[in-house]
Amino acid sequence: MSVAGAVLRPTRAIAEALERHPGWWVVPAAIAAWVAMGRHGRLGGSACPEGSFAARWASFALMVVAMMLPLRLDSIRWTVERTFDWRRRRAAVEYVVGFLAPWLAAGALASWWLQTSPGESRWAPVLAFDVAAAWALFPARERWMGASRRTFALAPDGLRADVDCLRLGAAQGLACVVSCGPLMLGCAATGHGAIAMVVGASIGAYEQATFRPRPFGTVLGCGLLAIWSTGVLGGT
Amino acid sequence: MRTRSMVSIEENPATPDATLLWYSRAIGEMLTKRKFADPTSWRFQGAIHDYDSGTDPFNDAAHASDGPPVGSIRTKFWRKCQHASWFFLPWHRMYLYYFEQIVADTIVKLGGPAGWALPFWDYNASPAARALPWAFRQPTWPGGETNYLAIAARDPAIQAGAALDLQTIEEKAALDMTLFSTPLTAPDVEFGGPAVKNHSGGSGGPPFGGVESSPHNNVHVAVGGGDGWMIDPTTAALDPIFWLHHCNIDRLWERWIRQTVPVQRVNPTVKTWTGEPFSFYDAAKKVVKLTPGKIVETTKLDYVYEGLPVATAPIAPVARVAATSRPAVRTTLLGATKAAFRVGTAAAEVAIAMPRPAGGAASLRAQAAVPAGRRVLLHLEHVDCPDRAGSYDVFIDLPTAGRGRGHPDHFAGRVSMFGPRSAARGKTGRAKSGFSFVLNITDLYRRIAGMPGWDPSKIRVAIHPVHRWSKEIKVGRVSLSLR
Repeated sequence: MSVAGAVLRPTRAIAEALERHPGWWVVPAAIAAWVAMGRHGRLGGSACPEGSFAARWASFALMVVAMMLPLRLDSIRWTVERTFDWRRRRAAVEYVVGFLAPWLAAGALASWWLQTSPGESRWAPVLAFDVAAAWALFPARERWMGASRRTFALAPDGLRADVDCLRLGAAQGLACVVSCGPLMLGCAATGHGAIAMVVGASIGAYEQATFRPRPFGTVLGCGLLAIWSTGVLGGT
Repeated sequence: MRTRSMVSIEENPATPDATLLWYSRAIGEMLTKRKFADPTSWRFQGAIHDYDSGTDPFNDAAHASDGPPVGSIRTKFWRKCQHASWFFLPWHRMYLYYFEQIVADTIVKLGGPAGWALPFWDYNASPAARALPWAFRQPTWPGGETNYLAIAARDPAIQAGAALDLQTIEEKAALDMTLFSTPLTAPDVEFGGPAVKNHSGGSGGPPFGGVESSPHNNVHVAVGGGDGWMIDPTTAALDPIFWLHHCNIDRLWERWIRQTVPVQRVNPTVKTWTGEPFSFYDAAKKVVKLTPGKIVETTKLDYVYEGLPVATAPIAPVARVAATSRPAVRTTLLGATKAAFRVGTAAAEVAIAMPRPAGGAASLRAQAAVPAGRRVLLHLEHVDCPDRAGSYDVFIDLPTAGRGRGHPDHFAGRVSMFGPRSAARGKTGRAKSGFSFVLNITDLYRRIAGMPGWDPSKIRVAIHPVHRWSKEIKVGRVSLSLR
């Protein structure tokens, strides 16, 4: 292969990947969030992490950006490909803002609970992961996961298009909170421990990538996190 | 090796076609002698496709003692049909494969010949073939034997021998498609359907694949009529013609894969497609699993199609790269309707406003010159409809509203509402986003753009109900894009 070819081939591949995923910028955002959390977090986490409400909430927001946004690349692409060229970036940002809104609301509630009840929150991760494992067995969760991908016709431009993109993101975000909330709460309750987040993100990626994710995989992942939380965090 | 042949379309033959006569006898055995819970019964086989106790024609007092299998069996094996998905073709091939084994085994047990093979109904074979085959329209066989191929629950005209129209059986557009699949989110259409994943099951009203849309959906709706079984996925497989129709769809897949112009067609090779397992019962009532990767060659399933050479040529490795989807090409939205609208029993027409790019009308005209290698696509998005809504013809820039049939040169395509109930209830966790259709109108667009007086800033789309019994549908958006 010539030097030019060696340079051009990966360049073309990158260009195609960026074109294929117009919401590519959420990936560096997610990586930045992982890095930021890694610098301040702990490997195993803690049952009673310390910090102000604002710090907990900010960590929760970073966790959502790190774990959830990369899983929405398809939805961002869906949104962008149904709007005019001159508002593609705007549509993508509106979708992401809409998607994050329910998560931030849920994060505020979770942070408030963890902040105000430190005694009870010692067992919060165990409880949350147990609930997440049990929730995976309910057909209702499958329906909520479906709802997190449900779409509707978007207005092509104007104020209605802005509102539609925000609404789409918010509707999918809300369904995502319901289907994955217990798992994310468990991760937050460990003080955003890296192990919990990596396993949690792996579960999300598994459920995203497979055509028919077996509940067994999700139950196993959440169950292991619950057992790990019991053993490691219960003793702290 | 079994050979699947074209169904006999001979009218009033001196002696009944043996393949169909034994098919009828096997159905009689499976329907009347076997319990519903028996995996080899006719009703169980139908329920594998889809089931709803509310639409089950046998859910009546006469069958009160013939209950369904236990819930775990129903969950694992029923309502598994794959639609608007790249699993549409492989799943139905597996379904046909085991069904054929069960019927063949039943025929042998009844004293019939071994090696029975499912016939196909190629409605495009000849003008005469467009009518429902004669044997499916006669209540009895010569001699008075009950003919289980003939059911009343079909469109009355079709049941009386009327021919399917050419728009219903249109297959060229699908066969001309060069790729098997489209990415999940792409507003595009290829032969086999979108590459759905997980609960996304199509991230929002995934469009039907080319061959699924036409002729598959069209024939389902046309044969089923307003009240028949074929129009509804929950009852479709109870109609004996269902299996011959799907056998033809399976044959079209074989025809498609043999095409080499302009490029060699290839099936997906990615593990997410080849490795996805589906469970069935075989003729011995044993649970069996197959994956798409194991059924892409029919000879490995021990059958071939009459008239199609056995594929022996190796597929060029370079072609495999593009097996799943088109290389990254930006989809440019050209225009879209601003609000949802309804199409009733009469035709509706909407205008797609095309925003004026810099350069005004001249730029719009330049835009109308579709670059080589790119396509103009017409999208009907998020179509909500009641059950048995029917089919609709779509036209572009009709000179006179309401006279679509007189202007075939403005015809964009036919869309058929097959299975709104299944889509609406989110079967297998599928997103409930309504139907979406994509029509490749590149040639039509070029032709219209060359017509005198064409207004490039406003494209008019007319939607005409095909049947008198068609019901009102709500179209979320109609849009035009360049891909």
